[in-house]
Amino acid sequence: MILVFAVAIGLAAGFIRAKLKGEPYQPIDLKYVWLLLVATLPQVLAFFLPATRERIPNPWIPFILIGSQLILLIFVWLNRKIPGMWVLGLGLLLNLAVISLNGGWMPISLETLESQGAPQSSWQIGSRHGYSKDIVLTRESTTLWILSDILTLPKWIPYRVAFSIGDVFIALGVIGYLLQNDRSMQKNKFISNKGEIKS
Amino acid sequence: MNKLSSKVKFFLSRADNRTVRLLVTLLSLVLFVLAAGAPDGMGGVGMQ
Repeated sequence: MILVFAVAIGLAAGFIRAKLKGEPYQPIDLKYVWLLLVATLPQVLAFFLPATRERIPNPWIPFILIGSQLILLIFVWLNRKIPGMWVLGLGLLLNLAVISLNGGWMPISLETLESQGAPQSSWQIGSRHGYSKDIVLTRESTTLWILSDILTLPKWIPYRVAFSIGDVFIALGVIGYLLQNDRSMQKNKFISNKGEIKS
Repeated sequence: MNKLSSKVKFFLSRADNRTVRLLVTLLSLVLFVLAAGAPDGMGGVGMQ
């Protein structure tokens, strides 16, 4: 949910930037959007919809998660020429790397859970944390610990969440992409083409 | 069904192309971050 805020921040920043330039705002069109539906649907069923996530067995989750993220990698590759996309892709790759190397789950440490005030009855080492993508592991048993869900928000923000470095890159990529205005890029292209014809 | 389809057509004719493209892009990004990101659960550690 925290990453949806990045979309909102990027949208606001893109609008303000376009307004300051006196141009209408239109982000660059993404291609192969249907791949996103294919990638997201299994995750919606496994993590977000209460009616289905309770019925999907835990051993299926690594296949759903890794399969879905591989489809997203194809999507990023097909859209690689769009500015900001490589940052999104890097975030996705970092998350995919740590998830793949930890049995298909995103690791979260006991220290992180305790620092966020998660009640001890809500987690067990080696088990999935609630219906999330996370598995509770000790720092020693986590491969690529640095890329796992180790980051948290400052205490003064009344929202408890743990996220990874990959998530930060995804947020930055979304904001960077939404800051680009298709209208202004087309205008620049037109001006440079005109200059080439003149010379 | 006819009523529903005429309502959809009415909405699409009113919403200009730019707005529809923007909404599709935003929806795509929301789907992307939900699937690519891995913050703990729906956002709140210990709040599930």
